[in-house]
Amino acid sequence: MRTNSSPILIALAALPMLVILTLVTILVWISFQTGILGTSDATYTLNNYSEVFEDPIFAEAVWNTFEFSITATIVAMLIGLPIAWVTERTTMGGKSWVYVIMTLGLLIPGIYTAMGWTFLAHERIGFLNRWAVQLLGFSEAPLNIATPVGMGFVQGMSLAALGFILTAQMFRSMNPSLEEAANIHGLGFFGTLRRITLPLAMPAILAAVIYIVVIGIATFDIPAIIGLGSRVYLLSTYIFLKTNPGDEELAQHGITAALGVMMILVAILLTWWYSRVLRKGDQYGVVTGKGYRPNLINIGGWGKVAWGFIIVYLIAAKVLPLLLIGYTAFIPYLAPPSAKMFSLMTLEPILEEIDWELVLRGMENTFILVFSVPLITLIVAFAISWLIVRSRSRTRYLLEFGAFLPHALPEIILAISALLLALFFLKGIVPLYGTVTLIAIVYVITRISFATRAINSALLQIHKELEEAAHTAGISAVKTSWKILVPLLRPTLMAVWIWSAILVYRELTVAVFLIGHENITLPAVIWSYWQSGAINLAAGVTLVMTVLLIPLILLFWWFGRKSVMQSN
Amino acid sequence: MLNLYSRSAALKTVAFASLTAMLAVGSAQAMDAPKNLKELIAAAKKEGTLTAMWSSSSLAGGKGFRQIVKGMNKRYGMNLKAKFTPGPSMTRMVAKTTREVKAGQPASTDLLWNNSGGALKGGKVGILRKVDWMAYLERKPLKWDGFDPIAPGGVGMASAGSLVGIMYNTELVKAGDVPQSFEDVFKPQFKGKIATTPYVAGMREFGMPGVLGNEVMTKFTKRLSNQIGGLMRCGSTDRLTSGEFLMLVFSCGDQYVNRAKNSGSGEPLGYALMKEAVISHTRYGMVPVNSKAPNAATLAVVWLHTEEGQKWMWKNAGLDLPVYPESQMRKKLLAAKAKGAKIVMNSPQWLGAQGGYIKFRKSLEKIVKAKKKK
Repeated sequence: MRTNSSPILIALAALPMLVILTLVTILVWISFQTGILGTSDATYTLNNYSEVFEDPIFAEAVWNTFEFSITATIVAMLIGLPIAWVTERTTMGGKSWVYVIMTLGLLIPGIYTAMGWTFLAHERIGFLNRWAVQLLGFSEAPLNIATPVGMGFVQGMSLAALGFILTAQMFRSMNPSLEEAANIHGLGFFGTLRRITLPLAMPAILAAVIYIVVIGIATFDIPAIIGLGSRVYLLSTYIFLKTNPGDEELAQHGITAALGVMMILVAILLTWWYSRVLRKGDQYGVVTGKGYRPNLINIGGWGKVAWGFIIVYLIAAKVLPLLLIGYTAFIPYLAPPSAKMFSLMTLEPILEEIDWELVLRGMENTFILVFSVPLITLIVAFAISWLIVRSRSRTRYLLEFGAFLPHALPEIILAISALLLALFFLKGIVPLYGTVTLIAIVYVITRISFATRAINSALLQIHKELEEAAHTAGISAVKTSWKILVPLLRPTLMAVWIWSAILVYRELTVAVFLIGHENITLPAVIWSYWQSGAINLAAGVTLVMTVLLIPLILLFWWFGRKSVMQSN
Repeated sequence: MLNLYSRSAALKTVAFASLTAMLAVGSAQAMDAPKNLKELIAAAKKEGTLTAMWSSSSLAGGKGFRQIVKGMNKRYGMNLKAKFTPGPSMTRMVAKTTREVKAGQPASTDLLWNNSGGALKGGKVGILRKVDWMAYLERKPLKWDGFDPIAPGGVGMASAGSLVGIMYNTELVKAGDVPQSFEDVFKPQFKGKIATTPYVAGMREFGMPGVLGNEVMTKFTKRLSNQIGGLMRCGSTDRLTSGEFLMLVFSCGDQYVNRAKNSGSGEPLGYALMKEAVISHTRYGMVPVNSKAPNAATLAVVWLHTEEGQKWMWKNAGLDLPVYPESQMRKKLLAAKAKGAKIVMNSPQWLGAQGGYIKFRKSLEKIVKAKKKK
């Protein structure tokens, strides 16, 4: 590290690395153990790995996860990519609203999209199926959401916004000179798209695809809500089953850990591929001077068609599920919409049946996390980024790898590792089991990758002359960071804070594995109701959660629109 | 396999530690335990908060738990606070409690509300306090032939029962199609439209040697696995009212239907008992050894045994204990008995005497969890 690297910054950067290392080590260690962990009853074995491979449900779960992830990625890209292109490269109007709609898509919890789509396209209770049978004369339900492909479709719609965000930036910064040259040489619109635009965009598209596949492999909420009851297991729900066996036997932590180790290896492989693809992306750059203005493609009336597509996506992915959840929250028991059910609609489930003490407890914990996790994430991410960008030490490569590793590690694995650590190994040292702190630690770790990536880029834009001047004036690194860098980085820090807060607010996967009386979160309350069959109560709390999300969404909109306007 | 410690030394250590721990826990429980109801109330008062975790569909969830604590506070002149968090199924709660006991962590639930299987397993693995229940109860239960409401060693107290059968959607299953026997569930019109539980409720008890036997129920479960469209928990009645499934074969008990009728909610739920046998599925109140409020938890079970508690349970949770004169379940059981049905009172004693219960249940669970091709 440089001589003026503050020990405080180094300590702040080292702390999360230590946590990540501990969590991974614990998982690998446990994967070779059986018996009661942390006691002399535990023995070393390789059986956990062999048992995983011998379980026929595991093979099915792997194949289902493959189908699910591929479907989710295809759907996400088929929706997100064209919208990104049309927004950034054409003359279509109302672009800032596209950003609003697409970011809104990311903010809505997957749990409610899953609940909504169950009512829409379930084999037996889905409206679309009922209408298909009653109005279109189908002999049986044509759709079945409770399949890997069906769940992948729902997941894909949920991730389409991410597909948009990951590729829009690439279309925005893509130099149009090659396309213009192709046009001058008489290549038509589709020819240019096929021979110029797509090859130029391919590295970024591929990077987005890998990023979404990694998310798909570890997703828990949608497969759990839709698939568990129909015996359609994915790797994430299979791990959930192993951690929560259906009988009185102890959870098979060794097997879970073995699964986790395998998932880590796959995710690291994908991440390595991802970083290779990102590096290759630079090969396609076209060197230009400053201040070029890309020519936008005039699509005329097709702009309306594009908007129609966006609105259909908005309705299918967000509005319809939300309407169905609204309906479900006000009926005394779950039944398909009918005149009878509308006449029975009542406020009683929300006012009388929902356990408000529990909801308030969940709300309190969620707000503690929403305010603390982004702040801690920002502090440690800033320290890591500063050392990565400003330090000349080789250790910075290790820090960079460590900071990106949590993206490769499925959240579910980090959660289980943290659970076992708190339950068996830290019990007499730090009482973390069942606390909000435990959830906060895992949330911070899972957000570090995104935060450091964003801060790295912003930090690179700030010339270090300012810091050198401060250093010459005898100001410490921490004070320099606080007085000079933080004000300059404020837009990025704000964006990371809001983004992290929203993701923390809607997060379920980690919470499901770590919840107890004292640390239950709002999404976990919804999950608890859903799991015990109180679906109307789950819908009621979802509505409450959505209403509470409005201030954060407004903040995000305001900030997002401001950023778009500034960049324009 | 490589031992962490040398095998003989480890075995000696474990044996000695276990013996010492057992003696210590046993004597501590015996010495510290309040001797009568008055002492129990005094001890419970000091504990301040009673924490519970079970499914939202058991004992009316959080709302029900608060009413229980309110009833206790009123009856015993206390000011206990109630804290409830929805938890997993009964079987998973036993596993969770076992994990917490083994890890030396406090219990997530001060009061473990569970079934006979949970009482049997919990007693075997030593996660439950031994309580002298009869010293605290305010009234004596009536005798029921072959049924002792106290779980072996006093690790639990039977507090409610309900009848195992088929729960169905009354709007989607015609009256004439309602199954009366096991064979009826295999009618072609039910193929892919019915559900069973992942924990094979009913089948695991019907398959005991004293009822229909392992072989009969293994064959039945294999056939059923091809007939079902999915798995659901007993309390997930929404999946029946929504039409996702026509019926649940078998339900843990009829309490959901009783509760719906008692509340007048209008849920289209019906219930059918099987002509082959009627099993009364018993629920036990138990106190984990790592409970933070063991006296308050014990007192909650005592309250549930009062007439007030039993009536509250029937009204709000749809079940009560058939060994009390006002019991609605008692009336149902006596009616079934009068019709000549074979009645089985499920208890840990009965399960233990049958032999191989846990192993058999696991084998059935494996069958239903594996997805069959259509």
